[in-house]
Amino acid sequence: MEDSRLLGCPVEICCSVLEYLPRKDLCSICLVNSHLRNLAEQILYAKILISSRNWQSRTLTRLLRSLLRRPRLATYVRSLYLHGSAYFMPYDVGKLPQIRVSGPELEEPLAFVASTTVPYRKDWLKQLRNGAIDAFVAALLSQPMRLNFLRIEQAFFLDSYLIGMVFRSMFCEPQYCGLQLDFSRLESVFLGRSYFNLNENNTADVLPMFYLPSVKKLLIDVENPTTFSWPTVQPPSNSSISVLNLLYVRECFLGDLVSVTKGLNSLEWEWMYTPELEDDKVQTPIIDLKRINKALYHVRETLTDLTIWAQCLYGYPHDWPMWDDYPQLSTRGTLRVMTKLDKLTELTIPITFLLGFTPLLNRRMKDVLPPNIKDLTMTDDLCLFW
Amino acid sequence: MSGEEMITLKSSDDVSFTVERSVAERSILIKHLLEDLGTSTEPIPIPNVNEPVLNKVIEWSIHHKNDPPSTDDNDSENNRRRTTDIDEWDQKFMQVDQEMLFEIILAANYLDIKPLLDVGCKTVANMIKGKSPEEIRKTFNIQNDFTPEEEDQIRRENEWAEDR
Repeated sequence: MEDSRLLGCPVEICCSVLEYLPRKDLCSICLVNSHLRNLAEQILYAKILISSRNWQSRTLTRLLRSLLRRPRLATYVRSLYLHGSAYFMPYDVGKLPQIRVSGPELEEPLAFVASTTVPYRKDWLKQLRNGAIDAFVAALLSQPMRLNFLRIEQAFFLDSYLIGMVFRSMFCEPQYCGLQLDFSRLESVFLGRSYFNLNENNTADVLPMFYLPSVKKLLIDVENPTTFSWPTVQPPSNSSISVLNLLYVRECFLGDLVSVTKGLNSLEWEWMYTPELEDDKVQTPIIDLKRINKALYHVRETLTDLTIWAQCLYGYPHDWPMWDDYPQLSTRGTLRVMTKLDKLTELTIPITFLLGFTPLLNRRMKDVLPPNIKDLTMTDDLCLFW
Repeated sequence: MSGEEMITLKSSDDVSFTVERSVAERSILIKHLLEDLGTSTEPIPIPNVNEPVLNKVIEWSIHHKNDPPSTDDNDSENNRRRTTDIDEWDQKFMQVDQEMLFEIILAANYLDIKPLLDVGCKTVANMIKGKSPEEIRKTFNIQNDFTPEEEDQIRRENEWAEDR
């Protein structure tokens, strides 16, 4: 029998061919012959996308099973994207969806968790048996993947307790815990959050991201805690983050987050107020410009690009208030720091943040803008309340 | 006739081809060589490529001599994963037997002609797409070295990737 020309090609050429193939064909290639399987696996497992549309077909648990059986496959994973909004998931409001896994299929994830030394092991085992999504996502994230990209969207992050715990164990606690994610090259992280669970607090679960040694781009939804504290005694000091995108967190905690970055170039933040969540301290209808001022002061020497959005949220159209019932938003202080942001060249900001709700006629734009601005976009966010 | 400088290339079996410099420079290897040599009238030996293959490579290079330079690496990386579309002329050009197809790919790799290498790899990828493992083995003359048990195990292992 003649030699195969395909198998005789240098490895890099074979890989160039295989890189053109969709997942389905890569699966076929894995079954052709052991040499091609070895090459195709490295491409098949390099970028993993799991969509919540596949909920019933148990993609997540099947992938976890493969990585547990052959940890080498996990070392090929560079990019993990858990995709899907929570809106179309089959579950009742107020009750989290579950993954239905039969007894024998559970054995390997249970054995893995039992082999770790983390103190919340019992909880984790219990939640795996309950079919809790975060218990499975946490197990997946504890495999020896060499990630440089991680994106977890809301369908996989509805309950983030166990995911947050494994992040904390891996990123913040130096002692050995049996969790094996290689995060030394993790550069880009997105953690989403569901609107359904605004009352549950995810702050502790996402703060470990600020400890990642190589993270450059961090896009996270941070909810507002009752009290803010870092998972370690000393707050992190992160010089790798250059792009930070924050949602949900209010201005009183903005400074806590921004101040640990030492080289931040780009900040995007959304100010948000929801009447249903109003309290005395944090979720108030007052836009505290003094606090924002203080937060931005920490990054005045590095920030080149700043985007601030603002919105006042209502749950459902039938809850929308009559005109007279619209909340009375107001501002406190001014954004004096703006004129000190020497490096800032791009700015997008609601006009109310610069001039307040009752513009002073004698205030000139020049006095409230950074000196070296090149691109300026002033939005009419919140202008309904002007 | 244009006044462009002519370059002579010599195949591994000693056949000479005289082409315009812009055609020869589709090969980054030759381009760098010419830059280092300055002006030279000596034929350039291409030791790894024989006459029929070099003839095909030159045919491709003449057709594509005025192509704009490819975009930066990141972009082309993304495109590579997205599409195996090949333009009509290239498709016809690649209608050769498998032996010649792989010779062209190897020559493009050696001569560093990335667009030609890409077209070759896409052509092979298109020969794989949609085929069963057995059909792929047959197409490329590959022996199955798995036991039925191993095949079952591999199928289970990659089940997650078959989900839609």
